Amino acid sequence: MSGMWTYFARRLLLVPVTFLIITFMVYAVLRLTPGGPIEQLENQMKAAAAGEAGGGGGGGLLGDGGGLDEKARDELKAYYNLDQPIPLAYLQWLGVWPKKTRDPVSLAQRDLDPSFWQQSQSLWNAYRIGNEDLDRWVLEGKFQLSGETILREITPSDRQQHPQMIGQAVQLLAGGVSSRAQLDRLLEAQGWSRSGSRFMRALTDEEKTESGLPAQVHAQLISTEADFAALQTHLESMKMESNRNGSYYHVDHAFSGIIQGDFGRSFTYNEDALDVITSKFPISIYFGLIGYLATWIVCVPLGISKAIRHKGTFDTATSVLVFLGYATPGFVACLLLLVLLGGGSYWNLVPLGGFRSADWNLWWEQGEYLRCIGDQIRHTLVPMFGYMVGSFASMTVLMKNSLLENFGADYVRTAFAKGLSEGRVIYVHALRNSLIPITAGIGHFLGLLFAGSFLIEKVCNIPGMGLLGYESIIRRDYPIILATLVFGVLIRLTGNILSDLIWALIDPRIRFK
Amino acid sequence: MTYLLTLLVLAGGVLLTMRGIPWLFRTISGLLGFKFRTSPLAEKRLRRFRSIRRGYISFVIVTSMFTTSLFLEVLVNDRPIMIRYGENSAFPAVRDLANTWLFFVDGPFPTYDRSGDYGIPGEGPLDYKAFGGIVADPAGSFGPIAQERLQARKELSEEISQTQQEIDELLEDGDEPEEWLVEDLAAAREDLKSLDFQIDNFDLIKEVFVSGRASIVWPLYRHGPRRNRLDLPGTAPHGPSLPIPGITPRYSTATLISQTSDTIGGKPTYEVMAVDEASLIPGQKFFVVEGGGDQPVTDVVGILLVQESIGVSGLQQRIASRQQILDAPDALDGDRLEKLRSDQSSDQRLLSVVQQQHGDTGQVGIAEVLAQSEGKKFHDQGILMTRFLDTWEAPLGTSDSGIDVLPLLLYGFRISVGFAMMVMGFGYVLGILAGAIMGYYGGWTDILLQRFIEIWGSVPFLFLIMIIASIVDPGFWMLVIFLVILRSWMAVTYQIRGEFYREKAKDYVQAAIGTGVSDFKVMIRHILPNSMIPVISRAPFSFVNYISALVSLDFLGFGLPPTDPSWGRLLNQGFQFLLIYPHLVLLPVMALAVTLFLVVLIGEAVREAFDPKVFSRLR
Repeated sequence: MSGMWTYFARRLLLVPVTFLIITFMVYAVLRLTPGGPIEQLENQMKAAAAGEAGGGGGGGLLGDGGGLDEKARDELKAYYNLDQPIPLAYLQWLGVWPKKTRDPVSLAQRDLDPSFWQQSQSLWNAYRIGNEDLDRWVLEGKFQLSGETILREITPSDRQQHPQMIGQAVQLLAGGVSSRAQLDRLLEAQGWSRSGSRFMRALTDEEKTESGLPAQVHAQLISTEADFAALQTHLESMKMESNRNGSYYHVDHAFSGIIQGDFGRSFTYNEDALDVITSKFPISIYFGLIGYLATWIVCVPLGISKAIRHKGTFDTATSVLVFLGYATPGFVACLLLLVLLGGGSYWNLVPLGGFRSADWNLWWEQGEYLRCIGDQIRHTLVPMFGYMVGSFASMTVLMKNSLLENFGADYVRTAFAKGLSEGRVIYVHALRNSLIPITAGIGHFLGLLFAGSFLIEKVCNIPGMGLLGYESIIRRDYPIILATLVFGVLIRLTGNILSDLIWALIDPRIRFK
Repeated sequence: MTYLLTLLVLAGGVLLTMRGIPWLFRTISGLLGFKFRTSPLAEKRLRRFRSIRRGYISFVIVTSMFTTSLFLEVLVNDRPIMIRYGENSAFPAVRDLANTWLFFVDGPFPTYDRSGDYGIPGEGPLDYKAFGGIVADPAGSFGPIAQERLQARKELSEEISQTQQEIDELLEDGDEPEEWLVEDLAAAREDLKSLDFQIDNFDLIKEVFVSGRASIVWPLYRHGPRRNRLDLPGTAPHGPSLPIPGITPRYSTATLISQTSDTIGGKPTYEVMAVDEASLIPGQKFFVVEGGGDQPVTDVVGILLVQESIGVSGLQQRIASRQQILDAPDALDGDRLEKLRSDQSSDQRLLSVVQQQHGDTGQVGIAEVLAQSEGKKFHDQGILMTRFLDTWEAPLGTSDSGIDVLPLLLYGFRISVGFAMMVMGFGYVLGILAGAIMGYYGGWTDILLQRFIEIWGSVPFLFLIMIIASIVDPGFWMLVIFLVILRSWMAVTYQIRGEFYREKAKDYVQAAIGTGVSDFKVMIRHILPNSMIPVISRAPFSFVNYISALVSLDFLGFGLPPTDPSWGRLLNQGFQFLLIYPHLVLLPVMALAVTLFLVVLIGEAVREAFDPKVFSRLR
C-alpha cells in the first residue's frame, strides 16, 4: 500500500508544476499575440469614427490616425496591467508578487488634510494651465505629441534631402489600404512616421534650441512634464498619485492574484471574473450531470444485454448503433436533432436552445409548475442527447467487454458450479466486478461537469461555462479566459487523480507505482 | 454518358487503390533496395481482416474514394480539362491539379488563359463557359458576336474622335494637353487597331470554330468548390435540385391568380391555383419565378407560403351553401350581406378560372408572401414552382455564398481525410520515436519524458488552438502541426513505450545488442516490427477523432481559411439557416457520419483481425 500512496503523493506534487506551466504558457500566448483589449477598443473607436461620416476630427482620446493617443494608451495599459513584463505580470496575476493597486481618493479623505490638498490642487493647476498652452500650440503648429517627443510635419528641406524616398512614399500613400503597411515600414526606416496623409518626424536639436514655435512647444513640454513630476513627488509622500485628467488615487502595493481569489475584472461584463464564472457553474453542472446520468441509464443495460447475447442478432444490430454513435460528434448530433425537431422543415417538438424559456420565472411565480417542468425538459432533451452521444459508444463497449471478461473468470465458473441461477451469477457476481472500470471514469467526468462542452453549449445556446469560454476568446476577455483556464485545468488534473484513486480504492487488484 | 463515365472513374479508382498503389509501392521500394517479406503471422492477420466482409468492404470504399479524390481537379471543376483552338491548346484543370500537388512551389502554373489566344477578343482571362458555348453552337453564336464587335468599334471610334477634339481645343487655346489625355488617345488607337484586326480576322476565327478545329473537354461535373454559382436564378443558398426524399421538396407547380385585398400579419396574400390537390398543400413553399413553364427560369422574385387550399368540388359546395343564405337574406344585416356577396362573387370567379384552366381536379388556395425581391412585382398568371432548378443543375444545392454543395462535400472529404492522415502520420512517427526512446533507454530519460507527457497532456488543446487561431488564420499545414504537437503524438507513446519495455528484455533483442548492433538499428529493425500491433489497431479510431477535431474547429470558425472547402464551415452555415435550409446541415452530417462510420467499421475489423479477444462462453 505504501507504494501506492507515494505514487499518489507524487501525482499530487506534479499538479502545481503542471498548473504553473500551463497557465504561464497560456498567459504568455495571450500577451504575445496581437489583438488585446486595447486594440479591440481602438478598433471599436475606429469603426465608430468611420460611422460618423466625415467626422470633424476625432478629438479627445483619438489621435489623428484614428487610434488612441500615447498617453491614453499608457493609462489603459496600466489599468489592464499590460505595462509589466510578461513574467512579472504573470507572477502578479498569480498573487506572489505585489501588484500596484489604485483606489480613488474620496472627498471625505481630502477634508482630513486640507493644507496638503490645497498644495496639490495648486500644483495640479499649474500643470493644467501649462498643458492647455501646450495643447494650443501643438494644435497651432499641427504638431503631434508621442509620449515625450514632439512630431512635426516634414519641411520642404526634408523633402529636398530625400526626393526619392518622398516620391516612393507618395506613391504608396496613393496605393490604397494594402500598401499602407509598406509605407509605414518605409517611413520607419527613416525614423519618420505618418499621421493621416502627413509625413511626420521628431524635432531636431536645432529646432529645439532655435527661436520659433517648435522651440516654444519643446520648452513648454519640458516645463509641463516638470510640473507633473512635481505634483507626483508631492503626492508620493502620502502614497498617492494622480493621472493626467486630475483624478487622485491611493497607491498601494499588495499581493492580489488568483491565490488571493482576485481573478481580475472581466473586460466585457465589467464584473469580477470569479463571480461571472461561478454564476455559470449551475447551468453547466445541470446539463453535464443529466447527460452523465442518461449515459449511465442507457449504456449499462445496453452493455449488459450485448454481453449476454454476444455475437447474437441483438448484439450485431446494436453494434451498428454503437459505431454510429462513435462516428457522430456530440455537437453534430445536436445540430441534427435541432434541424429535425426544431420546428423548421420537419417536426416542432423542441425549442432551438437556451436554458429555459424567457418567461420561466414568471410561470413559476404564477404556480404553473407543470408548465415549468415541461419547458425545462424540452430544453434539456437535445443537449442531453448530445452529451450522451459523446460517450455512448465507448461506455457501452467498455461495459460489454468488461462483463465479457468477467464471464470468463474462474469465480463465475465456480458460482455456476455451486448451482446458482444464471441471473444471480450475472447480475450479482459478474456485474459488480465489471462496473469497476466504468465507475473509475467518474473523475474524468468532473471536467465536463464543470467546464461543459464548447461545441454543445454553442449549438444549443446554453449560457454555461463552455459558451462563456468561447465568447471570452472571441472578445479577448483575458481575465475570463484565464479564469476558465484555471478552473478547467484544476478540475481536470484533480479529476484524473481522483478517478485513479477511486479505481484503486474499489478494486484492490489495481496497483499503481 | 456521364453516369457511365462516373462509374468508370470509380472503377478506375478501386483498381488503382487495390492493384496500382501496392504495385507502385513494391516497385519503388524494390528499386530502393528494400525487400518485402511478409511474415506468416502478418499474412494470417491480413487474411483474417479480409474475411471480415463489412470491414474489408469499408476499407476498399474509403481508400478508393480517397485515391479517386486525389484527382478531383480533373473530375469536378469549373474549368475544362482541355481546350483547343486551332494550334493553341491548354489544360486548365490539369494545371489546377498540378498546382494543388505542387503546393510547396509558389504558383508553378498559370491559373488562367488569355482570351485573345482562343479567338475571343481581349487580354483578360478566357471565359471557358463562353468558349464552350461557341464550340457547342458556332453558327448560332457568331451572329451576336459579330454585331457586338461592330458596336464596340463604333463606340471606340467615337471616343477617339472626342478625345482628339478635346486635345485640339486645348492646343488652340495654347495650353499643354495633360499627359494622360494623350496616353488615353494612344491606347484607344491601339485598341481600335486590334479590334479592326479582329474584325478582319473574324471570318478566320469563325472558320476555326465552324470547321471543328476548336474543342473543349469538360470534367464530369462542371462546378468547382471555390467559385459562386452566378448562373443560377434567385439568391443563395439554393435548395438541392436532386429529388432526395426528406430533404428536397416535391416538384410541383402552381399559377398565381391575383392579389387579394386581405393580408395575413401585415403581409399581402395571393390567390393561387394548381392542377390537383397534391400540388397545393397548406404549408408548402412556392418560389415565384420569371420565365418558367416551357421557358427556362430567368429569375426568382419571391417566396409564397400556402395557407389554405380548396378543391373544385369543395368550392362548389361552399358556393351552394352560401347561395342558400343569400337566397333568404332577411336574417342578415347590411354589412354582413355585403361581405357574403363579395365572397360569393370572388368564389365564383375563382371557380370559373380554375375550372377553365384545370378542369374538375383543380385546386385553389390562398398564399402569403414570405419574401419578395425589392422592386419586383408578382404578375398575375405568374408561375410558381416548389423547385426551379433542373434535376442536375445544382444537385445538392448551394451554400450561403452560392458555392455548389456537391463539390464542397467532395473536396471537403479529401481535405478531411488528408488532414487526418497527415496528423496521424506525423503524430505516430513522433510518438513512436518518443515511446521507443522511453521504453528502450528507460531510467531518467523515461521518467523525465513521462513527466513531460503528463504535463503536456493536460494542456487544454482546443482552448489553446482557439486562442491562437483567433489571431492568426491557420492554414492546413499549421493546423496539422498544432494538432500533432499538442495532441496526436501522445496517443501512441505510452503503448509503444510498454511494448519496447517488454520486447527489450527478450532474448532476440539481447542477442542483437550482444552482437554489437547499434541501438538505432535494434530499435528499428528488431523491436519496432514486433510492437506495431496496438498502434495499428488503434489507428482508425484516432483517424475518426482527428476528422472530428477538424470539423469542430471549422465549425467554430478557428479552422481552415475561408477559401478552403470544409464540412465544418458548411455545418456552421447550416446552423445559421437551421430552419430554412435543412440541406446545409443534413448533407454534411450525412457525409461526415457515413465516412466516419465506414472508418469505424474498418477499425473494428482491424482490431478483431490483429488483436482478437476470445471470450470464453458463459457455460
